[in-house]
Amino acid sequence: MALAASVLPGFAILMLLGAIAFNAHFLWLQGALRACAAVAVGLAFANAIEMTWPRRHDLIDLAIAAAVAIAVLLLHASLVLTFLIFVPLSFLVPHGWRMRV
Amino acid sequence: MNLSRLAIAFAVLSLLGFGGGKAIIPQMHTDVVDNFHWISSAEFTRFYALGKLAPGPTTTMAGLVGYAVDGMMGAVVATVAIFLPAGVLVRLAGIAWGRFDGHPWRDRISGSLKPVVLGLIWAGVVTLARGATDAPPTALLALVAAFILLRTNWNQSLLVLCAGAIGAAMFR
Repeated sequence: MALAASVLPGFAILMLLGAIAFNAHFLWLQGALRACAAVAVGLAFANAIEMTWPRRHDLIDLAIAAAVAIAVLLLHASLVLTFLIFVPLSFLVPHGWRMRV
Repeated sequence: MNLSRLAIAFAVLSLLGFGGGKAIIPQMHTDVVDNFHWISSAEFTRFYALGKLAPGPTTTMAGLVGYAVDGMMGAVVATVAIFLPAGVLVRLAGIAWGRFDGHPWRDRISGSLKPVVLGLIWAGVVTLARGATDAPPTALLALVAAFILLRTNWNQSLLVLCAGAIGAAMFR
């Protein structure tokens, strides 16, 4: 019930926006959508920086994050494979290294 | 056929959504753009942007993908598939997680997930950028939006709306 209540308003608004977007025959509307998409990328970029910044001194975490991004973007690793490889690696490797320190 | 594919694709994504909706963006893009060819990369980023305008989590955009595939029925199926399995899983995991309260392994497991999720989020940013920043003006818009968000507390939906107004004037 709580799940439905949290999803339904967003779904209704999204469908209204979608109805406009799917009928974007006007050039100005296509331009608006293009700009919205660009800004959404900027927002995602800013969120990623905000989430990375507190961990900037943790080189192990940064290396794992970079390896995950490379595996997904360049090697096209699936989400399942990514979790199967990197979560155990993340669980084991930093612990061993920190133990030595 | 499309409806069952939609349901399975989004239900699997839902179950793998550790770390929130942003972490499944690369896999969702691979599924709906590269594997099933339901929408283009540019449409994917536009749907993501429209998802920012609606209240609720990022994954609400699944409804738009569903709509593109099979109309309103597709939208409903995709939305239920992306939220219901995760909702059930969160409820069950919450019960199990509570039993291990204070256990040292609990923090280590969640700590191990964080860098993986971070990597997935960065992969998501690059995936979205490929479909949206196709020219210098759009790349500039993205950078300006990132700068504004990092420097101010502006509402994200407001930023997207402002960009829409700028885009309507700029890109016609």
